[in-house]
Amino acid sequence: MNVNESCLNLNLSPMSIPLPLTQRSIALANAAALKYDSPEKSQQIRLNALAILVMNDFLGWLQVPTDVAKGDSWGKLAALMDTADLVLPGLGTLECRPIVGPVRWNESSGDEGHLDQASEPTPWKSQTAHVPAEVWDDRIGFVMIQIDEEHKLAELLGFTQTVETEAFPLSQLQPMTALIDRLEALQPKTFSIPVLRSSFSTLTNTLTSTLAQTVEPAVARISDWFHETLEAGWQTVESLSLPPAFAFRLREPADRDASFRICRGKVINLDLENVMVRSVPRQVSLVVSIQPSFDSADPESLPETQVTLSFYPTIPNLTLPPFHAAIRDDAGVVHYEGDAAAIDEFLEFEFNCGADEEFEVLISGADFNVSERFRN
Amino acid sequence: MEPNSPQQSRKEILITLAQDACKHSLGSRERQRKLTEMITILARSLWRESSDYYEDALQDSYCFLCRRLCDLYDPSKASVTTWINSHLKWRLHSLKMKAIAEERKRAYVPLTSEDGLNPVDNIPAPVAPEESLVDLIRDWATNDESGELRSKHHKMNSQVSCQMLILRRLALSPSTWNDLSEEFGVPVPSLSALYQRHCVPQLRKFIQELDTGD
Repeated sequence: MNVNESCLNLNLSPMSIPLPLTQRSIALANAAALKYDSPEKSQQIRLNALAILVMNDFLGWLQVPTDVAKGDSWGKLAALMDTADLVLPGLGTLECRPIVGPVRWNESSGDEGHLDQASEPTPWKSQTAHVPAEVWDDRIGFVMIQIDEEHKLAELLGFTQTVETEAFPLSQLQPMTALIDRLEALQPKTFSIPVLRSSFSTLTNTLTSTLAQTVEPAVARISDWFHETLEAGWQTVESLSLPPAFAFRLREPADRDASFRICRGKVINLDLENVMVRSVPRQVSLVVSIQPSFDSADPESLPETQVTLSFYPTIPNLTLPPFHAAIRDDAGVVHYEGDAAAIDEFLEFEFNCGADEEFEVLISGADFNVSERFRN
Repeated sequence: MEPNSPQQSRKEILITLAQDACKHSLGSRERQRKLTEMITILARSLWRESSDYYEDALQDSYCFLCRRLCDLYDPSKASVTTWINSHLKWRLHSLKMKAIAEERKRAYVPLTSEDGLNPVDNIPAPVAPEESLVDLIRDWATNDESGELRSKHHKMNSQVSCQMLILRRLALSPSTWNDLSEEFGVPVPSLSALYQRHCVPQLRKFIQELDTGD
């Protein structure tokens, strides 16, 4: 049963990454292809699906979040276009182009497995990847993947950020690490913001008990927001006057990714009696932004929602009024907490929330206690 | 891949990469880069065999490498290759045992009670061929009742509209992007951008409306 390494002439390029075509990928790709009658279209759909699924697995190992089902390659649009798109939420769409037929790596460049760093990689002999013009635009990059169904092998040949010809020369590909560089360049710039992730063991919150008796507020059902629901009391962020810091942060992922992320906000009155104290409003804007979070390496895992809670001053160019914020689960356990000081432009929390999980945001100060409840 | 001194063996390169990877947090670009380099090397040196579950075991092993490298791997005990190979062989063994157990179960259980273990069983029956969808789209694009498909056009040449592009791309003998480029004197990247940014969203919307029965 065992195959001697030297018997398998994989003919690999030193920079490519040969990966397995798993039974699951093959079954899913076959299922996608079954929807089409024409053998050519069926084959195109299957190869595109295999390329996407292999890339999805690879990114999953590296913990790069993906939303594989979001791509056009699985929907009806695939009937009309030759696309192999893989959506990376918040970053953009990666095109995974399958290549069939032997890609001959010039064998003088070293025997299989031996990474000869000294010699320059020899280019593939005038070989090209077919990239239809309909997918050149609106992509963060392209990965060329050789699919060898017979050997259940998919080889990540390399990455390119742009394609401007339908016959892309494989010799112009960069190693797969160039994809990571690209993702890094796309990564939303991070502020020195207090993203608070206190550990579960540091529960020293006295608020929990004092606030436990407060009136049960309405529960905002955040999972409904994905269906464009605008819940009573919540506004679109455009209708809140948020400071430039927020506008900058919102701009970061390219505009098309807004579809992955839903933002809702509301103005919270901290003090019902005094709207202003010494001309500082006793209000904060709470912005809740949610996006689906997938564990792509574990297909069995339930989808979660990544929640970002941000507090901003209600008047741009001002800072936050001082308050303490805590986030606790429905059992009353505080998971995250932090303080906004008078010099802070904003305060932010980020965490994941499972299906149907509840959490409550408690905002308190010397003379006020307010809370907002959410359910996924 | 960073240049390594020629004297450095694959084993040493992998250990260095592992140590570098673990200097950075899980999910960081730096760790992703190092893991990518590690997989590139490992993909050429791991155990191979031809069995039905080899690919699944290998996939599982890469996942194991990326997740557990920094808390489980001890360079003083084994090379990275040996460490992953031992996981791979263990995984192969457990998948083999599972397959044998399945086989035994299958021998006694009537076929009708197959419990959907094979994902292919869950596949819906083939839907109407794509031609009918193409017909619907062709009609929709030809009529262009709202005029939107005609109104989305290249800024220099109003003939180059979404209506024209969709119809020409969906024709029985579709025009290639190069043909269209030559015919209308518009570079292919401009056509591509127009198509992706303006025509595809319209197509997507139309298909969505079809699905919701509007």
